[in-house]
Amino acid sequence: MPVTTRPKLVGFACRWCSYAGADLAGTSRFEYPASVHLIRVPCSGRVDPTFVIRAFQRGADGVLVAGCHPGDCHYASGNLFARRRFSLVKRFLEYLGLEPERFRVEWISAAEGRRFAEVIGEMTADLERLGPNRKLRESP
Amino acid sequence: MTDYQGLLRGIARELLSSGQVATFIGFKAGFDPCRPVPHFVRDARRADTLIVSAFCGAGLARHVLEAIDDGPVGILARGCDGLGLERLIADGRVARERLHVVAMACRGAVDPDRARRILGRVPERAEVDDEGVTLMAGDEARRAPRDSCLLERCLGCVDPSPRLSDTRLGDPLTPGQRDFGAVTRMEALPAEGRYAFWSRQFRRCLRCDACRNVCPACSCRSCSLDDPELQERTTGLAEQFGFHFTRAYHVAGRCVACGECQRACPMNIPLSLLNDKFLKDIRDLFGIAAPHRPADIEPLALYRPDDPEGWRGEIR
Repeated sequence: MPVTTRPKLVGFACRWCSYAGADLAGTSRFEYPASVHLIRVPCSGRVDPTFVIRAFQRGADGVLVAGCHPGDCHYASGNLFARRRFSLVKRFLEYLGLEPERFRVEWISAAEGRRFAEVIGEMTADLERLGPNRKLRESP
Repeated sequence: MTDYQGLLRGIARELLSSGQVATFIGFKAGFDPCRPVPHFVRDARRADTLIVSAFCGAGLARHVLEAIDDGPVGILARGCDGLGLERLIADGRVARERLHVVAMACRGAVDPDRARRILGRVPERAEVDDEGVTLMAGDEARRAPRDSCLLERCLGCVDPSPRLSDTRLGDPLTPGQRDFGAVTRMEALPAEGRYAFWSRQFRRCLRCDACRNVCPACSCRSCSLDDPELQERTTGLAEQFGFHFTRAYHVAGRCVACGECQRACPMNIPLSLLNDKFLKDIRDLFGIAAPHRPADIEPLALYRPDDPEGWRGEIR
């Protein structure tokens, strides 16, 4: 029997918006690929860039950081700090040679179940096209 | 040429004997004339062990932390040291009033390895000016272009004189403008080329931590690079990427671009090329001209409601 591999996508979702958005996608029965391993965090500002690196080191093919839309943060400013931080991190990962599709930051509110399903679908399609990630892991 | 060495010894002697400082940090002769080493003078009678030469390349700022607990510190500072001192002051590691900064204008320091390759023997003396470098050993002298024998960090130097000063040696030189040419050239490579380049560089890393240990912006008492939960102490490529990412990211926004990490690296890994990427993006995205910014503007500890989303569009 042929072994089919599905991309491994690690998603960090903020507890107040994006994780609730993912819940909504589920309760609304929106279909999206089961490639995502969602990790609930208190806020997108909680996501240390080390988490992203560690996910790639341990075999993730892609990483998503999802949080509340700017201005909607439960802690007022967590996602605004995260926006600055991941603006730099995203560019730096590309600078090190990672494909742009492998790391994404998205704002997904608790009402945007549809958006969550779309993002996971898009990202999974991108990762399937790119194939398994070897970078930041082992020899190229 | 002005006798900076004589002047410096006089200043250090005066500071130490009057008790204004407990330690004076400068350079003394090393095992080769072309390799002076950082030097702590604690006794006025030893002030004449201090030297000033074109080979004084190591950064001194971070050494302040080793002496500041013993009392006020006097320090010889070039532009790069000055930026490092500003960083330590802004980080609350050192109080400004406990420092006496002897600010020296600097036209660049000679890389002993490069100079030796050019001269074919150990250089004994060197003179650096704006047009080039004269390397001397015995009665032999050779003129070389600046970019052939200065330290890498001195070639891109835009801060020849420190902004902090209590005593000045020589008139301050005009600061330059940072251009990030090397970062732009790296960004122009395809992703595979960038990855191959950095894999090649990181694979050589010994994980000696020299880059961290000399860094004036990386002086936390407890360091995440020492935490086995966050950073494994192995030298596989994955961990090397993790280490170099973390080191560069943790000084992003606070890096003073002194280039001391790269100078200290025994494997000559171009670490400034990592730091400069962050400096360039901070300038391009947030309009903050790090490291030349007021101490209270920390690019990553601030936000504006209308900040751009740096992940939109291509890398450039």
